[in-house]
Amino acid sequence: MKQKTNWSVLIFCFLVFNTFAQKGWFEQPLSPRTANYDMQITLDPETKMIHGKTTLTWKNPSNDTVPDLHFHLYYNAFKNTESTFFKNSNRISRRPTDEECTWGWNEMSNIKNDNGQNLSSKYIQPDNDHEADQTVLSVQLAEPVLPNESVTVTFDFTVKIPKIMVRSGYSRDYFFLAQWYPKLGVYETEEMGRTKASGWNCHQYHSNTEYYGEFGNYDVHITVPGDYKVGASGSLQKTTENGKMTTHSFHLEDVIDYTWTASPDYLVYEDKWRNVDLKVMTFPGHECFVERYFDAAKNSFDYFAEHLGEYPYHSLTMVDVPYHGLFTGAMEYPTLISVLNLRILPEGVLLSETFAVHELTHQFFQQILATNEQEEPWMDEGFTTYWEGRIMDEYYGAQSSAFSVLGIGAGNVEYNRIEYLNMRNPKMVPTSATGFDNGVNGYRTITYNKTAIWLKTLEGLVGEATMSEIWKTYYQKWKFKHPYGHDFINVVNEVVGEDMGWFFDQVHFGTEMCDYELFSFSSNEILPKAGVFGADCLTGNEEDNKNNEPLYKSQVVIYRNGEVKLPVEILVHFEDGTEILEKWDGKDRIHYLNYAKSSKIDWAEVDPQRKIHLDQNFTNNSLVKESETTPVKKYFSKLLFWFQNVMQAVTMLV
Amino acid sequence: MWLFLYLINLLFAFLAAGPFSDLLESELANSKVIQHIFGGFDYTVFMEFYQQNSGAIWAFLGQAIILVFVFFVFNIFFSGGIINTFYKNKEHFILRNFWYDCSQFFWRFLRLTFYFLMFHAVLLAIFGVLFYTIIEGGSNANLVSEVTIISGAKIIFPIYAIFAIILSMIQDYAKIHIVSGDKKMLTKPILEIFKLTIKNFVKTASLYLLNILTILIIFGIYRLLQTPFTSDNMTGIFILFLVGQLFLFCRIGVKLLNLGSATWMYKYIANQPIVEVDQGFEEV
Ligand SMILES: [Zn+2]
Repeated sequence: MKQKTNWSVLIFCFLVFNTFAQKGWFEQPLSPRTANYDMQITLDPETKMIHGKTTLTWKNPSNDTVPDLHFHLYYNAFKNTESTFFKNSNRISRRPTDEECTWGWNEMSNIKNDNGQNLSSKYIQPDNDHEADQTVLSVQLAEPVLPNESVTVTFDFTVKIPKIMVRSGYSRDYFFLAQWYPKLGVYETEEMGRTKASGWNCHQYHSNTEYYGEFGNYDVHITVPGDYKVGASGSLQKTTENGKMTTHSFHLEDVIDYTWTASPDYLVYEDKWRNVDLKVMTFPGHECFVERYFDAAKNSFDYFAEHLGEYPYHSLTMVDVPYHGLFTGAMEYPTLISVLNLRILPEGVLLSETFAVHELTHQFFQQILATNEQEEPWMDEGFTTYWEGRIMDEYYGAQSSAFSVLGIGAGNVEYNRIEYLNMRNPKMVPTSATGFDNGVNGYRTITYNKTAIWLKTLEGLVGEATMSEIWKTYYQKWKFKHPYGHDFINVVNEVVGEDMGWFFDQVHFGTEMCDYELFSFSSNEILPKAGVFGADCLTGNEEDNKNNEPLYKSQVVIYRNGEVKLPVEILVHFEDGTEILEKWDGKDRIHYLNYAKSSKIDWAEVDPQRKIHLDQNFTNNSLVKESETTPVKKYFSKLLFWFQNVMQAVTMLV
Repeated sequence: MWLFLYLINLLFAFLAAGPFSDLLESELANSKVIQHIFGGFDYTVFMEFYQQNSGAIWAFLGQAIILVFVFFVFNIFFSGGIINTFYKNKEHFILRNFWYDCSQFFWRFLRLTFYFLMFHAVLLAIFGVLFYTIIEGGSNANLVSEVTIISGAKIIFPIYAIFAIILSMIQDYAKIHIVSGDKKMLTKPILEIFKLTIKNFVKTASLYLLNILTILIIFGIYRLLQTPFTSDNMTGIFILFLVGQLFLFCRIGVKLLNLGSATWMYKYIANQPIVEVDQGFEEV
């Protein structure tokens, strides 16, 4: 009996300890924890509805007295065709369906403060005059919140889940809930933002860009039918069965958003990276991708631990979306990302890896460094694409990390560069353009690819070591905060030790292109003096000159074809093997290099180390004296053989 | 005849590939980037090449497609000569005679090819619709998993391939049947040959299968011969070119073997004398 009592005490102590350990993950909070949520929600798969209750505590981070709270109700973007999302979006077509209602909406009700007083609310449209748009709700507080004071509100909310719309929704019995709950905007202080004006930053839901959230802790209790498997941001604390329903309780700290998914068909795989629980949730037929996702995640975590900072959270769930829910794929949420691949693609197409690396990178660029995607999308997608390129090329090869099929391959960085250069109009907008009012086609390539390319160019100009210092400084200074573009530029200036405005003005705020060309070179023998000099007549064949080595006057001509002016190196290689590396400020339209040497120029190259990734034509960067035709012969023989076979194949129809 | 057909193939392919090679040389031979494509494919070099020269590349491609079409028509023209050579068991290839036979059957074979192209199109359409139905349009709005597309293709494609091969085989016999009876109208001979071939399906199909196996074996040997060589030096490039040409030569040979053996089989199943020596132009 005594023995038994002791065990009970021990178990009780363990449970208490465990509960506390789970409640407080970090010794010190990582973030300011401005908005903290406790949510109880129930999913009804039949009606595609969620009923929820939220207790929200918000701390006023400013010196203002704040009279209201602004909430995102993103699902109202899918309520009808009059929302800003639908008015701006030309990519959504709604096909007739036999289902009763595939639209989605989100409604808050019974909003009360901690004294139980009912609070009034109204929809507002901070971005435009689309009065029918209901994606932002302003809740009037009974008492304004004083600086650095907190307020707690409770409310009920009902969500009608749409049939998958772009990033979120349901398809059959697969549910992916992103941007689904009433979520507070960010109250910015004077030091923050583009405009440096304090107030709520809570944009409507637009067709491009969506992320900007306030840091906080989440306790979310998700009730679903017992046969449903649930994946969610954070760590599972417990599951409680209640008849046919099961409640899954999750806890997560210091994040800006919350996402979850449920389906009875999920296959769940687990692994570990250091102390982080890794999970892949996939569907039958996709088992072959599981290890590829885990490997990509581990590689990324290793890379970030070495080059930026260690992943601070306890879990990462990768949701490999089903074919019928494809549009929920390739998205990023705190500790939960959605990835995708298709069995119809060859194995050499590294979609699993690219998406896992990309979305995982967003854990740093957008979640931990919580930028405003709607206003500064380049800091979110552009930075992520740059890091995706670094990681992919490091682990999967600089010429195969995008795809490698039947001997034809491309690296991630080079693929992204060509994608930008192949745009119909690469000058359409600068990378500094906002995302939410930038509905034009090509926004993606400019924001993602061009930013990544000019970051690579910056790396080339300042050197890898300085670039590494820039990233580490930026991370240390701004993690768990809300940096804006000027904050990153300030870090660059600070680390480089000079005002880099000349660079950002051209490549980030400007839209011009960059191209340097090695136009020509020549080497001509300097002949001995000849002619009448006073009383002497020199023939140019004097005996003295015969034993001298011939001297050559050489000239290299370099053109600046683009409008962007960047400092560039030129390597001149002489026939005797000597090389001269020249530096040019790259400003003039034409630049000459002159030499008098005993050897002729063999070849010359602008930017031999390809530091200027923005250069739109690498082929014209170099010239050689003796043209090399052997590779041409190789490709001619291949092409000839290919055409012969095509022609012979055609004869099968005769 | 074999050599003649190979040379025609080489000539047309040369005309199609030549402009691309000239363009490659003029754009890349003076740049150091050419070294990047020596060892293998280089995405940056090729995409920049495409970007700078897309107008010319598409023009050359259009020209190549025209050449392929002309080559196709030439082959229809040659068919009469080839089959008559086999049918009459001519011992020597005399270009003059061959030319005469070609012109004799050209219009009939042109019509025949057109009819069979229609049959092929109908066959493709039937299987296309079948595949589309099985995979529900491939749309992710209808399918639970894209694996259905793969399994659908695994079922549909082999069945389609069998039917398409049978159709090609019947087309060969139709040509022989037309030469055999010097038939002017086509509808009746096509119906007759369908009946004859299907009636003797085991024999005709076995022979066709044997010829397909032969080309597969030759392809296997070609891949084996390729393996030890790399194309990063002039000798390697030359050897690989020769191996490729040898494969092409054999491929054309198998095509002739197929028609020759089919002619023999036709005589056998149509109860015609197998040996009927024809040695000169006058006797045609
Ligand atoms: Zn992204």
